[in-house]
Amino acid sequence: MQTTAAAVTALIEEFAKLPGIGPKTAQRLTFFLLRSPADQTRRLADAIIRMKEQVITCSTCFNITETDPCPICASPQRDHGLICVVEEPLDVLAIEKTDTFRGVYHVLNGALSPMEGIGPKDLRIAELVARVQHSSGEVREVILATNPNYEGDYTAAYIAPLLRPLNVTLTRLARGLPLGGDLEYADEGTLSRALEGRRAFEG
Amino acid sequence: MYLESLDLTDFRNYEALRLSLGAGRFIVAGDNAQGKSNLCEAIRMLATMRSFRAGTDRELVRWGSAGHFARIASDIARVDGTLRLEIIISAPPSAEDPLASAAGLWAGEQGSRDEVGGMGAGLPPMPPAPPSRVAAGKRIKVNGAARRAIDCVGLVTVVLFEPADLDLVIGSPSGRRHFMDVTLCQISRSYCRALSHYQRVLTQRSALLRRIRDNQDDPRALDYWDGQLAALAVPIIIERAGLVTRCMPTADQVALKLGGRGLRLEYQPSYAVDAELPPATAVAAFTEKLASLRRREIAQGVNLLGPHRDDLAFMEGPVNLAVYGSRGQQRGAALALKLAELEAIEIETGDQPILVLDDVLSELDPTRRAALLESVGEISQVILTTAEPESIPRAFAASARWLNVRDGEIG
Ligand SMILES: Nc1ncnc2c1ncn2[C@@H]1O[C@H](COP(=O)(O)OP(=O)(O)OP(=O)(O)O)[C@@H](O)[C@H]1O
Ligand SMILES: [Mg+2]
Ligand SMILES: [Zn+2]
Repeated sequence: MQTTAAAVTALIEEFAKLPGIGPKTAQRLTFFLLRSPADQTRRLADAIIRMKEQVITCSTCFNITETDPCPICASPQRDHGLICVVEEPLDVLAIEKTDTFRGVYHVLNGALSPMEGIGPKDLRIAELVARVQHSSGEVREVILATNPNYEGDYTAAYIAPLLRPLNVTLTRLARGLPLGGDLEYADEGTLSRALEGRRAFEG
Repeated sequence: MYLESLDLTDFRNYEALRLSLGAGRFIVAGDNAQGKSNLCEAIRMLATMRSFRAGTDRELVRWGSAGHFARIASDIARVDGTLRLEIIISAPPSAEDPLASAAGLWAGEQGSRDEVGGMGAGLPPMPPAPPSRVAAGKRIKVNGAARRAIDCVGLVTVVLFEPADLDLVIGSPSGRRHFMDVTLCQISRSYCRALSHYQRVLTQRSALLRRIRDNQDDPRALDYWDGQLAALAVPIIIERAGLVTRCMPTADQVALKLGGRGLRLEYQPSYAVDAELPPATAVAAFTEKLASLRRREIAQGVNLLGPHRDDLAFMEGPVNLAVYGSRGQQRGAALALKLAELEAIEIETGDQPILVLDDVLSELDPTRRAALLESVGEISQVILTTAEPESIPRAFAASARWLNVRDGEIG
C-alpha cells in the first residue's frame, strides 16, 4: 500500500542518511522543499552537484579545495614552517574559525583504528613524512592535532617517531579538550586555548 | 536510600505506571509474565543506566507504542537529599515490527548519541551509524538537566538478586567478573570510566593483534596499546582485589549462619598487581609482562592478559565450591556474596543500596530463605517479587506493603 508519493519517500530516505539528521528532520526538510519555489530547490540541487564536481583535494595538504594548491598552501602570509596535522577537513574549518592559527595544515583523512580496519596506509601519513623531509628544514614544528580520543591519540603516537629523526619540534594540543571529544565540536574559545597551550609531545 | 516514586511510560509491558513507593518493604505479587521482572529491570537501570537482560535498548520499548520511546522516571531519597532521575530510551521502529504504524514510522528522532551505553560507558563516540539503521538513543536527566550516562551510574545504588544469580558460583567466569564490575561501577565513577575505556582498548588491541598476524600492521604499533592497557588494567585489578577483601567478612558470616564452615572469597586475577608498588612501577611491570607475551598474543590474535580474564573462586577451607560443593552450598555461597555486596556498597558510599529480590525466595530452601530475610531487616527499601505469595514467611509478609501486578498494571 503506497500512501505517499515515491519521490517524496525517496528524498526523505536520502536526507535521513546524512549525519545528525533523524527521520523526523528528514521529513521536515522534504516537506519544506516541497512547498518552496522551484528555483530555490534548483539552486540547492545545483550547489550540491557543483560541490561534488568542483571540489578536489589539495596535493600538498589534502584539504578540500577548488584550486590546487589550496589558498592556504598558496598563501605567502601563512607560516609554512608550522604544520597542523588534523584528521578531517572539518577540523581545518574549526581551527580557521578561531583566527589564531597562522600556519598550514595536513589532513590525514581519518585516524588509525584497527577495529575499523584503518591502518597507516589508509591515511596520508607517508605524505606527511615526505612533505617534512622535502621541505629541506623549512618545517620547524608539527602540531599533532588529532582528536583527543584513543584513535586520535594512537595516530599521534604512531606519527611521532616517524617525524622525530627529521629534526622538527612535535607538539600536541593542550588538554582542556574533553577526552573522547571531536575537534569539530569544540567551541572556538576552547580550541584557541588548546592551540596556544600546545605542549611538546613525548609519545 | 529509597525510591519515593517510579513512573514508567511504554517501558516493556507497562504503558503508563505511576507508582508511589517510600521507605520499607514491598512485595510485588503476580502470575507469570505479568511484569514483575520488567519492574525490577527498570529499577536496576536507574542504577546502572543499562538493562541487565535486554540485548538492545529497542527491546525495552513497549511493542506498538505510538512514540517509540520508553521512559523511566523516579524521585529518589538519598541520605544527602532527594533527586529526580529520568531515562528516556528512544528506539525507532524496525522494519520487522508488525505494529509499526505509518504515523509512528518517523517518530523517535535520534537524540544526543548515547556516548555511553551503560557499562560500556565513556567510550569515545562511535562513527555514525550506517545509513540503513537509525541509531537508538538514550538520554538521561538529573533534576531536569541533561547528563551523560556515565556520570549518572551509581546515583542510585541497587543490589539485584534474581534466580540466575544462584548460578554465580558454577556459572562462567564472565558472570563473576560482571558481578565485580556492576558492584564497583556503582561505588566508583572512576572505576566505571576506567572499565569502559578498557573495553575500548581491548577491542582496538585485539583487532590490531589480528592485523599484525596477517601482516597488515607493524608489531611496534602495539607499544601504544600496551601502555594504555596497562594503565587501565592496574587500577581495575587493585579495585577488584579491594572489593573482594571487603566482601569477605560478611560473606563468611552469612555462610556460617547457613550452617557451612564459612566462606573464603579468592580473587584470581590473570595478572596479580602488588598493591604496595607505586602505581607507575606497577604499570611498568604489567607492560613488561605484556611484552613477554607479545609473540603468543599475535599468534592467537587475542588479548591474553588483563582483568577481562580474571576470576573469583568460592572456597570452603581448602575446597573449591565450584568443583566440590553441593548445589545447596553453591547457592548459599552466591547468597552470601550478594549480602556482602549490599554491605560493601553501603560502606563505600555511605548510603544503603535498594535491595531488589526478583523471584528468588521460591528458589531457596527454608533455612536460606529465613537467613536472607533476616539479613535484610535493616535495609531501608526492599522490593521483592513473587509468583507464589504463600512462599513468603509470615512475619515478612505482614511487615510489607503488597502490590499486585497484572498485565503491566499495578494495583
Ligand atoms: N517491549 C515489550 N513490549 C511489551 N511487552 C513486553 C516487552 N518486553 C517484554 N514484554 C512482555 O512482558 C511480559 C512480562 O514479563 P516479565 O519478565 O516482567 O514477567 P514476570 O512477571 O517476571 O514473569 P515470571 O514470573 O515468569 O518471571 C512478558 O509476557 C513479555 O512478553
Ligand atoms: Mg520474572
Ligand atoms: Zn593545501
